[in-house]
Formats: sequence, structure tokens, C-alpha cells
Amino acid sequence: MWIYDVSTLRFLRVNREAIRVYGFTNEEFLSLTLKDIRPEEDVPILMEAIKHIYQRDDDYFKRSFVRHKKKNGTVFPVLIKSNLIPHKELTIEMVTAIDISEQKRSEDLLKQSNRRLKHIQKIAKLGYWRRDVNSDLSDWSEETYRIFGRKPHAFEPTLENVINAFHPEDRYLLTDDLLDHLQPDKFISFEHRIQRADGSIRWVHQEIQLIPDNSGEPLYIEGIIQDITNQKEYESRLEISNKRFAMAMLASDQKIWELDHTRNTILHSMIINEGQEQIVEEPFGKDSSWCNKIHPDDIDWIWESFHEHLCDTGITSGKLEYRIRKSDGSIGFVTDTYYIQRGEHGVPLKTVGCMTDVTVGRKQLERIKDQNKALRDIAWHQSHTIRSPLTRIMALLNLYKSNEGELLSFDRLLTLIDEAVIEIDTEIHKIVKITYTNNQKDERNITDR
Amino acid sequence: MPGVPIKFFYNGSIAMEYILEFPEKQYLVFLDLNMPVMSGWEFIRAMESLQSKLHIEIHILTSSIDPEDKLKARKFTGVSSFMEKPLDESVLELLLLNTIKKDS
Repeated sequence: MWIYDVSTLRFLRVNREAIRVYGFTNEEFLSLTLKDIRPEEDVPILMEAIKHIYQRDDDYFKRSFVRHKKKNGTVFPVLIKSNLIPHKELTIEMVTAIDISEQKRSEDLLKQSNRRLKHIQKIAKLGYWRRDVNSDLSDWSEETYRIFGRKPHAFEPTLENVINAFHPEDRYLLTDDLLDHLQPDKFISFEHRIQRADGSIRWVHQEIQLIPDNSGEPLYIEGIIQDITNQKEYESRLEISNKRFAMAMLASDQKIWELDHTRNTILHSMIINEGQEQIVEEPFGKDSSWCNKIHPDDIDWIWESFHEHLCDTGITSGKLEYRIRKSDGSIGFVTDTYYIQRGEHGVPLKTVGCMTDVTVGRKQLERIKDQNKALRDIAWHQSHTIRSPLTRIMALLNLYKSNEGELLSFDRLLTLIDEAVIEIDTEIHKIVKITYTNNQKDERNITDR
Repeated sequence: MPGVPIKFFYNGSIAMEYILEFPEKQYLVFLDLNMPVMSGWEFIRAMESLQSKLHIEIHILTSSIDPEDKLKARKFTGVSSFMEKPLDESVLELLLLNTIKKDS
């Protein structure tokens, strides 16, 4: 506390507390003016205030927050109260200054904390609301308004308005009395859709709880609300993508499997009723349902080959072709391609494989082989059995022409040619039979598909 | 060709038996491929190891015009030529003359 001369701004008296806080001695204080305890940049503010010192209204200058400077140069906030006192020819003013550094620091921290909280709420699209149990009106945070797409000045969060902001199909969530479903200090959560002012639909997640008073009576309900539309859309896209993948797998006769070597389990899909696919995880062994699908004559060499690949640290992928027993009892052919993920020292961690049903391809290959064999048979017949009697006819004609019937009579010639012609006809019948049998087989295969 | 005995065999097996019975004789063989019991190819394979001890020249004489048969014939060193039926008289004469020249 001090008294100073308004015309010179010089200190006239200071108390002990002022000496302690500001660090000046009594003598030093009395040689100073008000300007000396203000930061240099604040002096113009002081001078402006002094100019109007007589014109102020009742509150003016009596109580204000200013910055002061200690002897060591430290600047600190103070709350000052002052009173003008006429004293003989002088005008003096008595000033009480209270150091509010701590209070100011706490306020600043609180403001900063609030700013951060708002920022976090905005980033997380997380809003807060509360409603007294006896009130119809809720108190919404800025982010809650933003989530609902409303302006604080244009929307009053009464229960009725909030119900109307819910998606029509989800309004039932608020038609019941929330108090019937809440227990003190216990969160309940739910997801629903809201309809924003612009008509757009958003998905939100809410967690609400009932806060009781000291006697345990319900006091207010509070909740946090988060916009999860992006997450929902992502989940929906993922679900569609997974379904599409599963359907593509079904359509392409491919099966994906994943072997976890650390847990020795295999994860694979299995067709259940009505073509639905189910993911199954089971211990990996020769007796697992996965290995049971493999043809009994193939299981041993497959098991051995696969484990040879696993033990060879230089191998990261492999391919096996084997037979499987299909659910309808028939035998199918598959190509199994896999990739081995290895850890330290080449130890296998995971193997991911894709088993492709190549039964149709294999059958087609067999058919092509059959056809090739038939073609070879036909070629052989053409070259040997048909051409043989034909060359006989050619030779007979040559002989007859060159010897003018001396060695071979005309009648004998005709008989021999006749025999050769019958032989040709027989062989042609054989070829037609081969071709017909092959076509029949082909048609059956097409029908099978 | 006067003085040259001609023998017909209806399969490779009978021909082989005859040749082995009279190994000192000189043979000019016109070998058909499509024969019962022992085919022409089987005859060639069977004669491969014996050919150096015998006086035998093998010519394939077949109605086959299959290029695969021609290629296959080239792989056997014991096969002198691949001829398609019908056999022309002049070709036969030429062959016999060459054989006689070689031997004289």
C-alpha cells in the first residue's frame, strides 16, 4: 500500500508489505514515481489514466488489474484499489495493490486446459451434455451442437427437440424414461443415428451416466457423444468387401488358409449349409479337418514335402498339387500355393496359402489327352491300315500296266483290288467308330459341368 | 533278280528265328512296320545288338506316310532307308545293285 502525489506521481509513503513485495527500500521508494514500478510498455496506459483521473465515474480507477514491476525487473499482475484524497494543496491517492500472480496463473492454466479440452473434443468429434433430472433442458457443449449440426443460438436442446433430432427409427431410445435404465455412476452406451439440421444422417455413439447427490438421489444425467459416421461407413465398406471377397472365393473355387506356427493352429474357411462360408481355427495336425480333406494316398507325401519346405530356411514359397475328397464324395484336384513368413534365424512364423480347385482343368487335360490318343490312333490307321490296301492297289495297277497282263490276269487283278477295297472300307468304319466314341465321351463331360 | 532267293515272313519274330538259324547268310531285309506278334520296330530293336555279327541290311518298306515314323527310323543306325509303298521296280533294282557292288 502506498500514497503518491497525483501531480508528480512520486511516492509519498509506502508500507512494509510494499517494501517486501517490490524489493525497494523505503528511501528508494520515496525517490521513485509510479512510472518506475510499471513495465516500460505500460507507462503510456498509466499516463492516459492519470489524464482522466478527475473525470472517472465512481468505479473507474478504483479497482483495476494492471502489471507492476519489482526492483529485480520481475513483472507481475496486481489488483489495485485506489482512492483520491484531497490533502492541503496537493491531490494524493491511496493505493492498495494485491499480488494476483498465483490466481492469474491458475486462471491461465484453467483457460489453457479448457482450450485443449475443446480442441480434443473437436478432433475426436466428442461432445458433452448434461441435464438435471428435474429439467427438460439439456446443457450442450460446443462440439455437441456441432455433431448435431445445430447453432447454439438457433436450437434449444429441450427433450422434445432432442427427440426430433434423432433419426425417426431410433427415437424410441428417448421415449422411455432414461432414469428407468440408469444406475448411479454406471455408464451405459448405445449407438444410434441423428438427423442434422441440413437433413443429413450421422451415426453417433453415446455413453451416459446418472450422477446422484450426497444422499444418493438422482441429481443429473451426463453423457458424452461421439460422431462415428466415418467408422460406421468404413465398417460397412469392410463388410461389403468381405462379403464380396467370400463370394469371389466361392465363385473361384479358391480357399485361403493361414497357419500360425507359434500356436500351431490353422485358420481356414469351410463351406457350411447353403453355400455359406465359415472361418474355422483348429490345431494343425495330420488329423485336423483340413488334412482330412486330402486324399489318403497323398497325405503322407504332402506332409513330408511341406515340412521339408518349412525346415529349409531359404524357401519362402511353395506349390503342391494333390487330390482332395470333396463333400459329395468325388475326388478333386487342387493346386496349393503358399508363402512362408519367417522370423529370426528363418524360423517359420506364419504360412499363408491359397488352394485352387483345378478339377475342371485337370479333367479337360485328361480329355485332351484322350483326344490326342484318338487322333494318334486315327493317324496310325490312316497311315498303316488304310494306306496298306491302297498301296496294294497302286502296286497291282503298276504291275498290270508294266507287264501288259502277262503276270497278272485282268480277272485276278479285279479280285485283288476288290479285296483291297473291302479292307479299306473296314478300316474307315473303324476310324468312324473311334471318332464317334470320342465325341460321346466329350458330350458327357460337357453335361457333367 | 535271278539267283537271289526271296523269303516272306508274316511277322518279325519268325523272320528273326530264321536269320538266327542261318547267321552266315547275307540278308537284304524289306521290313514292314505294321505286323502282328513282333512289329517292325520291335524287330529293329531286337536286331540292334546282333547286327554287327550278321550280314544284314534293313530297309523299312511301309505304307506309312507318318512323318513321325520317318523321324523314328532315322534314330536307328541299323536302318539303311525308309521307303514308302508301293515299291517301284527300278528302286528295287538299284538297291540290289548297290548291295552287290558293296559285297564284291
